[in-house]
Amino acid sequence: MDEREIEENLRAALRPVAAPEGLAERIVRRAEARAHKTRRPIMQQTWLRWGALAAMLTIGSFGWLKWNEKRETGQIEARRAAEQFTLALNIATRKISRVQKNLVIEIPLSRSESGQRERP
Amino acid sequence: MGSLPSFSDLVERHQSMVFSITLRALGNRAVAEDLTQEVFLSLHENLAGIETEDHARNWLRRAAANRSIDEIRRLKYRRGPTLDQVAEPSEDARESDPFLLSQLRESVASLPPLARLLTIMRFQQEMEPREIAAELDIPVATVKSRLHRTMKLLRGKLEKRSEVRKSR
Repeated sequence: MDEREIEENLRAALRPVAAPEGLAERIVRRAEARAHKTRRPIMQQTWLRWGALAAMLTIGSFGWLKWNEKRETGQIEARRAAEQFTLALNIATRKISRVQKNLVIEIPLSRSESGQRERP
Repeated sequence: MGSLPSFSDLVERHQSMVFSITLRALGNRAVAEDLTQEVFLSLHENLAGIETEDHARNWLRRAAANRSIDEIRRLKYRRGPTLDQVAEPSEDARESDPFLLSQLRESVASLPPLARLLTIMRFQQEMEPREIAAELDIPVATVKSRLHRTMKLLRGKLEKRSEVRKSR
């Protein structure tokens, strides 16, 4: 038997066969049942994905606003405290310089008073 | 063939092709039917990526061939079909020697999984070696050499059997 003959006989032996009766209906039914059963995972639903993104953005921006507000309040308080501290320092410095002046004035006076007493 | 028909139309048009591949590869009608269903269910899941009917047909043929190879390996169908499991087309008796055809089926069934599928795709699906290579994602040279080896093997088996037959 030559190659051509074998090929022809192979074609005949492996000839396509008709699908069993009702196979197409069974396949379509199974596919529909499976499609009903396997719903898309929740995060694969487009509207839910966009909703989740919008919620995340809202929460994020709200959080950022709150944080920024808190930061600004903190800064104002810190500035106020610094001003108060500077003011207190100024007052204290003024008082100290006043006391110092008094001391400078008083010390030479007391020295001259004692000198007069020592001299005969 | 430009647009994609509905899933039920695809099933209706290509069920015989998928069933023929799986049946000739596995040799068992029940297993072939199950596998055909699985192939179509898989197509249904991947329908979004299918653009045309040609694309669907090629996809089905590739899926049927690959799944058959997997199933042969899984079930260890080394001997493949037995003749009483595969319904013979009625034209056999009219066109060729039914004994020769059953011998050929048996010989094909005893081939290793890849060689078996290559033979089916070449002589049942009438595909060229380069088409088979593209479809199964293997080199053309591999397809050609396997087919050549298969033909040699089949000829050897047929000659051996005819000698045995003559001696009886």
